[in-house]
Amino acid sequence: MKRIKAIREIMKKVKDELVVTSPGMISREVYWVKDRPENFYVLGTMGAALGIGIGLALFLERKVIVIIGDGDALINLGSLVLMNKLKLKNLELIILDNNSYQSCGGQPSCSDAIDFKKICKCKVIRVSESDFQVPRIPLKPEEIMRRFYNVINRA
Amino acid sequence: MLESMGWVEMKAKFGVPGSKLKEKIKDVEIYCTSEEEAMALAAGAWLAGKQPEVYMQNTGLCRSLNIILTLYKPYKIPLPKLLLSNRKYPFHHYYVWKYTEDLLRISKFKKIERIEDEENKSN
Repeated sequence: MKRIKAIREIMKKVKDELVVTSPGMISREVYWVKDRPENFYVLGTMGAALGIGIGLALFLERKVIVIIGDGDALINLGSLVLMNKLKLKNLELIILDNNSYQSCGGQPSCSDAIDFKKICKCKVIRVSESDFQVPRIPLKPEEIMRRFYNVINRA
Repeated sequence: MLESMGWVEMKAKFGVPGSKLKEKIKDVEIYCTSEEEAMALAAGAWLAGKQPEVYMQNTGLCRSLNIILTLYKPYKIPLPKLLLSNRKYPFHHYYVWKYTEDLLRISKFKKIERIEDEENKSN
């Protein structure tokens, strides 16, 4: 399945869940498919999206969906282990696995040497490169943070 | 929300243990797998409306710099309170100790509680 099709299918089902995404094409495609204040795009920090999702899910009743690539999962496998330890019922992890660092040149990753589902409960979707490249997200990081923070903490 | 642990609510206090920290982290139930991960959990906790705290040895500042400079600073997320064990002894801690003030100058934590190593005590 093309990555953007997988993202369209995930985002079609999203209602009021918080969504945290990893850097690169995943964040960009989620933005262009369905931007909303409840989305937190991690633009520069590899391996942080799941930790942020865990931090959110620990203190909120609301469901949190974390969408990351295989490279992002590999750079911080420890967070998958922590996720398995905590077993938060309001946290869902989706790994879009194209076995490569597609956002920076398509170099092969080592994801073919591991089964993420053996580390923690997660959904792994095998994806191939999308047919077209969406532009960068035209939001400043502070704007992404502020509207996300407000959607959780207002009221 | 924790399914199986039976806690009312976990404290927003994340980090990696250190021998000089043990008296200060007796209230912690689950430890993070790295200091950068602790900083990521703290960012999520802050976005969820909490006032998180992180704890680490000074060497953990090296691991934390990435998320501080690529997430906390550009997104203007306030840094958590830092409980820092500033290791100097034995010798393998020396170089990180030597540059700890530089790491703190770069990171700009506002609230820091420090535990300094005592002269020539190795544990």
